[in-house]
Amino acid sequence: MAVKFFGQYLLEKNIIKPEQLIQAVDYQESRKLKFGEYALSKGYLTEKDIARIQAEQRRTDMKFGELAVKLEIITPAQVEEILTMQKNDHIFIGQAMVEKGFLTSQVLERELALFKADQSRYISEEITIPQGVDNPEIIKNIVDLTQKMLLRMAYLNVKLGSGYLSNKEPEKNFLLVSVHLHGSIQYHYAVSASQEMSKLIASKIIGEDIEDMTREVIADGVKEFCNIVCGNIIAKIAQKGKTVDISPPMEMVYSDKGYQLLKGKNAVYYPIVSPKGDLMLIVVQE
Amino acid sequence: MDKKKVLLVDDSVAIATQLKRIIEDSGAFEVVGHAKNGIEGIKLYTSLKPDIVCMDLIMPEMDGLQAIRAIMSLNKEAKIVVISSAAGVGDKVMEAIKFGAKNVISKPFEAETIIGILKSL
Repeated sequence: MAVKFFGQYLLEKNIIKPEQLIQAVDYQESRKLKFGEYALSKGYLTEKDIARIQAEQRRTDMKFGELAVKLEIITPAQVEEILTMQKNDHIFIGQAMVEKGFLTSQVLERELALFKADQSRYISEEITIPQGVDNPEIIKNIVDLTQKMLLRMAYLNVKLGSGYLSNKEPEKNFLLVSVHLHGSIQYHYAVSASQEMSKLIASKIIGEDIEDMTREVIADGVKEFCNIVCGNIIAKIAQKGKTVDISPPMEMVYSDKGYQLLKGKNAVYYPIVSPKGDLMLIVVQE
Repeated sequence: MDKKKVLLVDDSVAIATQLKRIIEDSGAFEVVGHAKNGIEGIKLYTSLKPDIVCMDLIMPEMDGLQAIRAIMSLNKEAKIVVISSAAGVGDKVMEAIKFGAKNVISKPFEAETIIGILKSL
């Protein structure tokens, strides 16, 4: 019920053992041609480059990607991008498991179909991105996953307002939680929520209605919501070959200078409306 | 039959509350402690000697990957299950299982997934 990579999906279903996943990924990485195919499709290598690396490889025990970097044919960032794509590519990891004898073709076919059906819920829908936003596809994933997780975790069927770019600090609200996404791309993901909405989200995260929830418990629940959304966002971004990490969520403190979330930078604001109350999703572009 | 002892390591009290309820409602386990970061997790692992550890990855002070490594160095037989929002990131999953985690569950999770995996250990 989250954005997954196929290896973890099989692990979670107890279809494979952790050591089998390690062996399958190692096997997949050792298959130089697959790396070459990815690099070729991304335009990072030519057929001639691949032949040269393979010839060179006979004289060394270096991995294909490492050797390509050493020969200055490809950059370390490009290697990392391809390896990340490979790990998250459910078809190739599945094939590696069949070839290693950990799965039969029938089981792979069945599980791939189930996996794709499960993950189809996390395919981004049409969302209008304001002009001037960098990486619109990633912003689309961020907005979309926030919406989907509100439905999945808080049972809130929300309506998305028009997104806009602004460099103004967010208005004061009951709670503003921020998560730093850092790595090959950098953002601050933030959610501003009223007391009513914050309580609702927190109670759904805890899984029961608690009377007289303290502010600390409410904030903790909203922080965990943001953590889960952002974890799923970086999983989605990893499928595109980008390595991004997240820091633990933080509650922002309002002062006479405002929240100091944007600090003069631009942010994309998306109002999120529901019958139970409203939220503001803010994505600060670093 | 004695219930298996479970230690929760997660910086979120909300998630720990939910996990404790799910785990204890199964009747097969008892949650013996909750640590809010990796350092506390190692300390509680040493003092409580749980049968199973449910470990978050993204935490302040010390993250889950470092804590898994430390616990596995204390006890090679430790049974650690990762429960994380970042479970869809291939690199994180691979690191966790290379360090010795027995399984990786993604957040949001289903109660039956948690119980099924804990029972399979």
